[in-house]
Amino acid sequence: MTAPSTAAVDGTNRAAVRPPAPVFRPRRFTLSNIGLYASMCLISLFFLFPIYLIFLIGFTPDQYTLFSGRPPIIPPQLTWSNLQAGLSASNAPFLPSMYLSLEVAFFVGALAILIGIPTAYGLSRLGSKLAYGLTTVLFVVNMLPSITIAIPISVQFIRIGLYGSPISIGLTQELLALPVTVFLLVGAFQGLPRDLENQARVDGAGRFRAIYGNLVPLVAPALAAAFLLAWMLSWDESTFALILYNPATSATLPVNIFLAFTGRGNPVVGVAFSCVATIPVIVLTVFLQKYLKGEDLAAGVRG
Amino acid sequence: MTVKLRFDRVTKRFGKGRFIADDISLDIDTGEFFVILGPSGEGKSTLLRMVAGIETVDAGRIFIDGKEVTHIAPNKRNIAMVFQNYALYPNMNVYKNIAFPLRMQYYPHEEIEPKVRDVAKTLGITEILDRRVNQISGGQQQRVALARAIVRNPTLFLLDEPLSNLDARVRFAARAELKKIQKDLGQTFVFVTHDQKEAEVLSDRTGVIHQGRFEQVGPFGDLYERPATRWIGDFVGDVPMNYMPWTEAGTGGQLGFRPEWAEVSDSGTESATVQVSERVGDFSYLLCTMANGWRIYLRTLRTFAAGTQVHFTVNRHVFFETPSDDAIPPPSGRPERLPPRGP
Amino acid sequence: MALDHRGAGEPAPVATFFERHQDQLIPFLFVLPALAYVGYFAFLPTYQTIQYSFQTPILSFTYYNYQANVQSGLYSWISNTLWLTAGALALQFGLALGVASILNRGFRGKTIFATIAILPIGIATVVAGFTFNQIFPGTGAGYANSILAYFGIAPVYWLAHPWLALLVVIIADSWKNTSLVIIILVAGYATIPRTLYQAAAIDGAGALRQFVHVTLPGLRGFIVMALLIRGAQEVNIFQLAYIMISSYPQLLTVQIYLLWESSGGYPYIASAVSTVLLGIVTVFIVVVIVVGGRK
Repeated sequence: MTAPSTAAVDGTNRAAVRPPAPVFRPRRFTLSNIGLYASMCLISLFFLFPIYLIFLIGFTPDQYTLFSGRPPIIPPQLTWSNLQAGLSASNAPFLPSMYLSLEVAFFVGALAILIGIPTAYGLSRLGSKLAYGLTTVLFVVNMLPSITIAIPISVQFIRIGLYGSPISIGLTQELLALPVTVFLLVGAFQGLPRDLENQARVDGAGRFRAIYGNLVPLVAPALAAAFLLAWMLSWDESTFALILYNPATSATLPVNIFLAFTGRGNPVVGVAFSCVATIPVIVLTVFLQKYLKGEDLAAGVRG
Repeated sequence: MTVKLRFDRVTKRFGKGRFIADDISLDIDTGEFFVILGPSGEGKSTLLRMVAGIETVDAGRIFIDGKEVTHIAPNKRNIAMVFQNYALYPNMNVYKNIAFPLRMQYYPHEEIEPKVRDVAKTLGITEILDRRVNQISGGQQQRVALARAIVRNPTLFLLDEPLSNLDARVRFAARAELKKIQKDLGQTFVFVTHDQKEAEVLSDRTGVIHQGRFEQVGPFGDLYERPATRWIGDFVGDVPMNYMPWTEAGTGGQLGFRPEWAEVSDSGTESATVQVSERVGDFSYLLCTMANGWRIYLRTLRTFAAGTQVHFTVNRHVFFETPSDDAIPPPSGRPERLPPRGP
Repeated sequence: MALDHRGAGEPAPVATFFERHQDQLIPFLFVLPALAYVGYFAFLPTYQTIQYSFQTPILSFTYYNYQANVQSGLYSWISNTLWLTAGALALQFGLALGVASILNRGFRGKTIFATIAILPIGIATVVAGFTFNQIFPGTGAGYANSILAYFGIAPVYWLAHPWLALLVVIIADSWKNTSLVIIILVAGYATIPRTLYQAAAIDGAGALRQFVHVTLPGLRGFIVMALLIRGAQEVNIFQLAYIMISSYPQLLTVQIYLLWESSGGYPYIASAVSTVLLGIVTVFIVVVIVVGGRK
């Protein structure tokens, strides 16, 4: 059998004249490939270096870090003393702070799911113009400056007496979590087969039963991702938590870290808190990476 | 015969001034296998979904067993529906899928099990009861969907092109099975399809929907032999109907005849020139032009080459009245409304 | 057989508005709780802030707050904030485009690289702020200077000049936030079919022109979305900047915070700056949407 014919439509024999190999498939060690790997390494270094530093500073005696005129990149000595000092600090007790952060984070995550499911369901069933308009409203909310909102809310909460409570912090932080949650979940709902809900209704399920019994189990991965994302957003959040915290009770971890480094606390405390606060989130981010791949997100974008 | 399902002036609009369902009135009898036939996108699925309660009705009423259900929630209508893609619940296995409607009615587990097994046996799917629904073949999925519909003993069955997603071979057998099941159950089936063969084989009566209206309703044979309008004549049947201007009893109009209603013989009264000859099975279908310019299809067992003259006699025809100044046939879209005068 | 009322004269019984539209109205009810929440926790406070900005403890409508702030240097705060935003967005989008296009190809180690690229999301902003403060402190110490010393370069006082200070904030902020842009752009890349690149290559387009004529148009909607999200967030940058540069040079958000802290519970002066910030964000959103064009 001769080689497959590449005769073009116009009848000329193109077998002798091959078009240049398309650029998008580089061979092994071409210049572009080396450039690719080199830039990858550089960028990876850029992203990893500060994370390395967090733990470096956390576990190196502070004369080599905070108080050194030429802090070494490779620590000459490691120690637990920073953690010990920080975790037992009396002016910013660690445990109540972490407890508050955890409380708020789980509250924000749960609330995101609670409000997010019906909202995403509704949006996925509405006509596209209305859905687009409402989604835009949610997005606009995300773009309002936190400081602008936090001050009047703080005034309100002081009046009601909820100042500093996890509920008030959580309810406010929800503003950041809800749009992303709805975004993820709408994409998930739209990926479900169209007549599934209809079938359940004809089979005798009321609307709530059809949604929560038949549709929601199928979007479980998106729910998990949304919860994680909301949790992480809350864990990291510091503006609302700062404005809304009550100095008489405790503050969330980020607020304590902020205070430690802006002159109202001990930097060593801040360092210790930072290390502890960072570990769970790195773990979670790795988990999240599996879900945050292109196709899942693109569905929500097209929606 | 009691009336199981009644459409009373059912109307649904979409867009500006256009209708998916245009003032539809129809009665379907108990125990009947009624097929709604029509081209894609002309409202047959929507009509079914209005009966199910998953599409809204803009005007008119729908009655099931004499009770008005027009705006009642779908889960309160005691009907079963099978969708084109079967809508099996992916997070449940076959058994749980079939049991689902019974669970919705709060049957206790002890009563559910025998019912499910019973239906599974009837449909021959007992072996796959514990499989996940994405692990079974298309034909099996269709039977699971059917089983789920049957198990709840509804008053009415709605089926929206349930055979379209099957391979041709499987579809053939499934068709016959479906008819048998309906007869055995003695239930009323309302079946939507665009496939004439399904309508022909399955239906007791067929209603042909065109642009939101039932253009003709009756046994399939009636649609074929006595089409009410030109459009029906074109839509029903494998080969297009032939038309030519004609006057009958003083009224101008058009004559329509199917190729098999004309006999090709040397003693035929009319003549035409063969343009193209196409063999289908034993027959040759001849596309011919007549002296007056009309193009017609003829069917014969003999062979004719292009360019030759054939003679034929029209033994049977159907007459459509048209407006008197409308000598040229309009494109099939505007139906003429008068009943045909048969042979 | 068929019943035929056509032409019978009486109109068919018409369904009520609710009955006709219940397939739209009921889903809307499901969205209502979220809308109520957002209305109370976002739009109401925004309205209140604007209200406060025109009030003082004595007067109910006055420009006093704005005048006072202008005297304190409002215009320079605005310009600092805008420069910071522009620089940060430029760096983030440039970096993200590069990383996303790398991630778009398949290669060994892609998952690891992808994970590294989004790790910064998990680091709390304040932690990042403190860390970069250790890299770029104003004292002449810090890790950046340690690295420079290794090459024999004299230490830099990173906060000595306003533009240098803004630069280090830009770097820190980009470190933390490029990941989000990467995620959005990767999603966008996934929607561009390979065949478009193949067609362009066959038409003679090299890598650069493929990028301009295939990638950028395909990413357009995603870029717009990322710009909206990040741009608004960028203008609102707070903790990171405050930890690193405190109030030199002054940024709008930092000023709002300081004014609020020092006002003993009276939100008025701070609200004026807040409203200015709100105005900038609004203008930004409108501009991006209009220029970004049809979606």
